[in-house]
Amino acid sequence: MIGVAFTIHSTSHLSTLRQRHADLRMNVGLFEQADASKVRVVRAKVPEELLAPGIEDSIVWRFRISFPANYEPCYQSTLGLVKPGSPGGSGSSNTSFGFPNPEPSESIVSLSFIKDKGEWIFSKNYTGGASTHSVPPAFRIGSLENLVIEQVVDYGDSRSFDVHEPICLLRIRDKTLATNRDGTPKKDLHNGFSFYVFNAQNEKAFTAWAEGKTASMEEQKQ
Amino acid sequence: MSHSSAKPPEHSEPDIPLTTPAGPTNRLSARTMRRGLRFGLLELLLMTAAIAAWIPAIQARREILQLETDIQMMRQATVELIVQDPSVLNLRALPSVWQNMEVWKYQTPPDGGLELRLATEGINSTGFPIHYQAIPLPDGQHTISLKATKDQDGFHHVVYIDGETALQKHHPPTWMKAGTSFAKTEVSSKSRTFPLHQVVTLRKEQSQAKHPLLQFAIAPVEPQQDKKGVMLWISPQALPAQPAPPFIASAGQGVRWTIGHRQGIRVRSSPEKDAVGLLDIQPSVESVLGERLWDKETRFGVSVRPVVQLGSGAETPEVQAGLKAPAPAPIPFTLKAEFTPPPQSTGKLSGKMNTEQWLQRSVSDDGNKMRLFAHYQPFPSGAQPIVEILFDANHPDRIGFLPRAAPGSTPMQACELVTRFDARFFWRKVLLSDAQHTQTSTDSGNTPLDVLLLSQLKPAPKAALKPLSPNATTAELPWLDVPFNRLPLSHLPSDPSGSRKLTLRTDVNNATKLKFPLQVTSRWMYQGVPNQQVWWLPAERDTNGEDRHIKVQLRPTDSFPTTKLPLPGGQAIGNVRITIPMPTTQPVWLAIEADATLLN
Repeated sequence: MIGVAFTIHSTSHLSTLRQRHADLRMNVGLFEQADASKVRVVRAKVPEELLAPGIEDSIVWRFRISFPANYEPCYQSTLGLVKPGSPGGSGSSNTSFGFPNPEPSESIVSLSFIKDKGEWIFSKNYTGGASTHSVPPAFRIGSLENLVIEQVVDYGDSRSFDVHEPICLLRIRDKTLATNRDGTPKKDLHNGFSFYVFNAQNEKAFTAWAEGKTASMEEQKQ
Repeated sequence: MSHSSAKPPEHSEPDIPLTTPAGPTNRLSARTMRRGLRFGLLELLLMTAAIAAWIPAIQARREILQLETDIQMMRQATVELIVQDPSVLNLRALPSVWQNMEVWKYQTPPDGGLELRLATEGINSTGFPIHYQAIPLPDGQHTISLKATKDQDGFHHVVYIDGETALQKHHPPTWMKAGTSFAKTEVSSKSRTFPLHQVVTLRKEQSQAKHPLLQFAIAPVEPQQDKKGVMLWISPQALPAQPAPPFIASAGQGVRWTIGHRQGIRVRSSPEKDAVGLLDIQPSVESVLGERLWDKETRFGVSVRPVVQLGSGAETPEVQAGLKAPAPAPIPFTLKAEFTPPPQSTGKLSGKMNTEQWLQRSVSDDGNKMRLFAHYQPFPSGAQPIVEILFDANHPDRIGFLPRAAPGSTPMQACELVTRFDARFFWRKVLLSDAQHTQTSTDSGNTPLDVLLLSQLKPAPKAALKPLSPNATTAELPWLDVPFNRLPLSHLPSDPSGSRKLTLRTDVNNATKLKFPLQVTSRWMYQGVPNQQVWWLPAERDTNGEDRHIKVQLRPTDSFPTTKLPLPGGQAIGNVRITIPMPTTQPVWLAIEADATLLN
């Protein structure tokens, strides 16, 4: 009888915890149990509290990234003309560096398109740094339905990467190629945005890859 | 489950004597055990049912442990405020999605008695801004957001509580030419508790303005100086903001230690070996655009030189440069808090004293005035001056000097204050009253002032040209007299008899574009600053005779200080000499002021 009572109670408690677990997993993500030497990424929802009055229409992606010890994160964003499967392009590019941590660490990266007083600006925030950039008018971030959105992972999922792999957290681009002034399409370039995370130790290889030397690095297929 | 219900066996084994060795005893135990483990089908069914009833509970327990571990980890990543103690302030910062916005979540108990305060000016490292807006902090759990933006209308700081505007401060675009800023907080992304009587800074952002001359540089500032920016903090409602004191002994030991205005001019003993006895004057950092950063050198100094007999020359405390004969020993001084220190104490002020100690001894009761005493050792003549050094909170650019004689000192007929400054300071012009208005003109700006160049001043009488040392090798140009009665009158409420104001100005409005001379090291590169040297000299003459008024003299230089390299642009003022008849009761005041007309 005692065992039956315990079972009933445990099952009830388990059900509650499963629901709570599922909700949290969708809201903030849960890193998959993988090799601790990997970089792990989950997507987190944007709580309403983070969007103050006046910027409720903003479009925000939040990712939680678990870095292994001594990983030196480097964040590169490109706004303007971007390539569909690699970094680089001919847009405005910004690179910033985080600090390597001797212990495994976690960073929350927010990629925010803020609409403030009718103007779109892009803000990247990560643990330890932030910057803001203007969004070129040709990139119509306000019309998401007309854009191709590639995100590294969606709510509830988790992905792992080798420390030497570049990680494209987010790429948003027009479905069609950008055009020259004479109306002809630009080769392999779309109006859009891309955001990469890579280990600063691989900066040279990443730069070479962004410049078109595709042999130096490769983006992990989703 | 129990074996006690098992029936006893019908045929017992023959008894075995217990006195036999160990072997028979073991056989007995084994038989007893077999007898005890015997159970029937009913017992088996009951036992199976019991185990089956516990298995789901055990499995659930295992999963519960894993789920609870995961949940605990994931909760840390949420924006949830984990309330550890509902009787105090619970607070955490939320991760930002926009660098122009900061968000915090808090919880206070009923009647917490806290308020939220916002300031955008007067932000420094040593106190709280005295001008701020405040709103009572609602009890319970709420969210605070701070949005700081800039647009064509200016600067906007808006504080929201649960999305409703609570505080706001707006400034026009001309409010600040912001170059960069740095921010601090006492709140982390982890939920923490704070006592209700504690002040908690949510954000302290101090802006650094653009350098007024350099294109890609910021104006130098010190942490303890008031700056613009934004400060948001939680404070007990009944607790008034504690402002930073007007006076400070700057941080740092040894040569870096200075004492004076928190936001203005300061003094210390010169750290240079050949300048022992020289009062090192450190002007406000704005007026010299960062010259204070040269901690190990004296950029601007005042030499105190007693005159025992007029006409016989003054005695110099520092080591004289360029002497052929062995130089006389320097006359050092000690900064003390009192004219007559307590017998059991040396009274010496130093960087080892904490702020409260010197504040208690040097600052007036109302906190607006501070005085120190530079106690010199006796000069060869027996003269022993003690210079009272004065600071007035209402004039942070100024420092006052009142020379006095120590008890037992040889009487002094005068005391000279002679300036010494390096290549960063080159003044060439003297502002004098129009010759027609010598008695009435003031520095109020209503009366026209003549701008005199050095070449227009007359040499001092021969008696004043006596060299400081017969062994001097450097060619020094003669002193030039500045007519005292042509210095404009300056009347202050605290000084009814008025002061004569000596103003020296530079003729270089953007010194950053000048890089010369080319053949010397950067120490001598001209990176001068557009500021002016100003003296306020008591206008009242001594009643003993006309000659006993203050004398003002300038000595030109045509080479860089301590070098023989010619000074491009012609002669500049190399030294200023203020001769004060002794005894005196009125201090003279000195200021190095930013020259706003040249900077703008």
